[in-house]
Amino acid sequence: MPYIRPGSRSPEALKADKQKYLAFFLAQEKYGIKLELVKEIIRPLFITSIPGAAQDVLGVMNLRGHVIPVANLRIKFGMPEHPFTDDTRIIIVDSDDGGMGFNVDRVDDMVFLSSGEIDETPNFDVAIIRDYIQGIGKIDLRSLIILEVEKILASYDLPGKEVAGNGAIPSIP
Amino acid sequence: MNNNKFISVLKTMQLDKDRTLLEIRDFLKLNKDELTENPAVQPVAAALSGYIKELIRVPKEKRMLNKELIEVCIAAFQKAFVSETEASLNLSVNNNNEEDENKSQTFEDSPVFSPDTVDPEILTEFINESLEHLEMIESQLVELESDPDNREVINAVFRAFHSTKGTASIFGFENIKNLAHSAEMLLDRVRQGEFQLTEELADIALLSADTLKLMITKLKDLSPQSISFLPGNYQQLMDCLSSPEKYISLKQSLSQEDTSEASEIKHAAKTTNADDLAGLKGANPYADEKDQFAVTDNSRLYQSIRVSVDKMEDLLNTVGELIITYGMLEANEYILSNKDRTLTSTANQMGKISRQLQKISLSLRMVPLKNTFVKMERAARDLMRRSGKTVQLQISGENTNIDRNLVEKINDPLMHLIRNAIDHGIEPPEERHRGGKPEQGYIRLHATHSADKIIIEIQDDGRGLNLDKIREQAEARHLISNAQELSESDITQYIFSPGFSTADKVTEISGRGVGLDVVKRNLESIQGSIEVRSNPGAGCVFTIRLPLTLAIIDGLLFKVGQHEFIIPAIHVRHIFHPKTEQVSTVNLKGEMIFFQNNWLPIFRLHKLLDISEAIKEPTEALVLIFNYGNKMCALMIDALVSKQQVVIKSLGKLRQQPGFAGAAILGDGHIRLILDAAHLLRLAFQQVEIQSQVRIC
Repeated sequence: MPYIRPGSRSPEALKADKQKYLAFFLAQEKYGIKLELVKEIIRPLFITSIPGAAQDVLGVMNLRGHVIPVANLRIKFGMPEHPFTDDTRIIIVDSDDGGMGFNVDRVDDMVFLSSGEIDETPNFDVAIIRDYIQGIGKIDLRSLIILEVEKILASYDLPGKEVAGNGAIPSIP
Repeated sequence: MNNNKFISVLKTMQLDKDRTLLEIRDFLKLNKDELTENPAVQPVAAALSGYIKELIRVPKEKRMLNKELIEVCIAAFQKAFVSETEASLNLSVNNNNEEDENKSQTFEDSPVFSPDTVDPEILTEFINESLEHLEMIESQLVELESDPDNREVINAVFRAFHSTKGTASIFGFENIKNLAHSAEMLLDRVRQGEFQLTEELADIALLSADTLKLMITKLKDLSPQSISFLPGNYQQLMDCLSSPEKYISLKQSLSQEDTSEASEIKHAAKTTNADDLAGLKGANPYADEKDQFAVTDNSRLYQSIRVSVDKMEDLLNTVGELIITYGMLEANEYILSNKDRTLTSTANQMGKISRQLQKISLSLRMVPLKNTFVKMERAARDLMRRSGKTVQLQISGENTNIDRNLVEKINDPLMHLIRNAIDHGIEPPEERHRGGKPEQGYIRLHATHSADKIIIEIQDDGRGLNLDKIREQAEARHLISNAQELSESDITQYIFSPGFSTADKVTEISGRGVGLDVVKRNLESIQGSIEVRSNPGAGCVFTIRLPLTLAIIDGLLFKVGQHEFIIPAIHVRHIFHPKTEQVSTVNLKGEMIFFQNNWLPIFRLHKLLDISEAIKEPTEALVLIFNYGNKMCALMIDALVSKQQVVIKSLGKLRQQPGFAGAAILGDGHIRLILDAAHLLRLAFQQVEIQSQVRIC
């Protein structure tokens, strides 16, 4: 039974104020995304490649009967490619159109951060990735690069003739 | 607008209300035939019509009230309407006397529905559909209360009433139709900004939806009484709907006084002579009614349940996984080499059951369009009878399989289009005769499974679309400017805008131009599309395209390099190893193949998709003679793997990926991409064009 100082808030209450992030590694750097957007984390499955797709799109995989596109964040962020290892995991992120998977080198942990613990991205020259960074979090003196999943997902929306999303109802002008 | 309403509008006419003026104009137009027949009314109607037109033309501040004319008109119309009502009352009494007219008690028109002739399945469909619409209304109205200015929601409620009206009218359920119509009118007035959607109005609308629900549920009895069933509050509700102003002002004055007596009156205003009306809002009496229905549940009705798409998808996915897992079990060495007969036969049995399960779960979703088309046939017959036109409805491709979920969604749109074709498209017999057409109109309903879509065409040989009128309307609604140059096909697409109508005559069968926007929206909600081609004087064709997303196709699995793809078998005319003499080149670049006395261009799929390590020599490769529309060409592939039925799935986030229509999960648990035939061909021909341009330079 942990001792809780009278008047202080329980660890649960403290955590409630904070946002949960899933931390993972990409080329020794620690990244994080909002946990609420993560549907599941799986070991790599067979991926069918798609000719003509963006370079970082690995292809599609069969996740229990669902076709899920998978993209390689290393390639997307211009990092050197790396073969899949035993630690490689695919993080499935939820989206309106069925979700998408991203492979990461290793999944680390769940992290609690309040908005105060997230700094703005310093202005350095990381053109490729900068658009997708929400801020830099700090845990135990290590930085956690927090990614904006929504923006990453949106970057895969191709302009097409049938723009309407799955069942999305366009508004009447 | 009914006659009484018309008179009340005339009495309270305000010159600065364009809406009222338009209403009067429309009423006159609509009832032109009857008005001109009556010598007592004809001159006043003409004068009034001229006066109103004049009024609409001049700006609000310059309008002059011609009190004398209006008074003369009111007097004349009142007189005429009274005698008319008497006549129609006599008529309906007469009808009641005839025993074989068991379906009477309708207000106007002769009823087309009788319990003996109606198909229980169609009726069930109608009941379910309408109840769905009504439930939707309920939830939307509740939403409106928190966000009263949300036009989107107002439109949705409006459309739901409209659809209910439309189908009820086909069956000849006059009472339901009239109520839905009045409710629709109320919403239309809200939509036009005549009133704000206050809580009171929302109440009336909700009450209308509830009452409609009650009436429609009652239809399940399949008895003549159920058709003529009128809830006690019906007439009162109709009054409320036709003159909500009165109702609101009554409520407002009451709430201002706010005495207990007033609130009693307020209550009474809502519920006078309608005990069951209270029940509609409260729980009990309505529940009693429901129980009653449960008891009288008629075995003639088609039994079905509705299952959500998600659940269906889940089932299908899970069964698919089962099959794959079973495949792995079957391939397991231990099981293959085991000597235990019971284990082997159990495993085989399990395999059979799994496949059976898959078959069933797939068939749960796939249905031929036949039922839908038969329904259309029936509806067309009824419509014909009412419109006095004879039309031949030809149906083809009714065995095209379509996802059950899609079928449900295309019912309404198809019904609308058929209705439109008969009502507006096909001319009256005399006009057809003058135009040198056979008196019998012709409508063709055709379905095919083409390219990556299911295509349904509704073609009529009527008058076609009036482009000038569409343009005029589009300009009047500021959808396009006067100067804007538009192609004919661009202009025709405006008929799908909300509230658009070029029909002079508003009939009860098809309404005031809300139809096509509903159609379009319904189709878009299932990722479908609709377009129209019109040939003035010779008719028009509506083409509906539905996605394959939910459909199953026969696919050819083939190899190019390391990749395996699926192409819909329907596009492939022929597959063969070309002989050396069959292949030749033009200008050392464009390759051609001789097939059935034609030289067709060859496209190397590995080049189109940029795949290395493919077979480069045509005589070692395989060519698919590929068919799309009226074009043909040869696609070069490495080898054919198999032919199989596949369930098409969306590529999700990557669904716009050029060249691919979707994906399928095969028996090995891996995904194969399905080639987008149409797109591929476009790419291919573009390439030819570029090449030929290069050559010209």
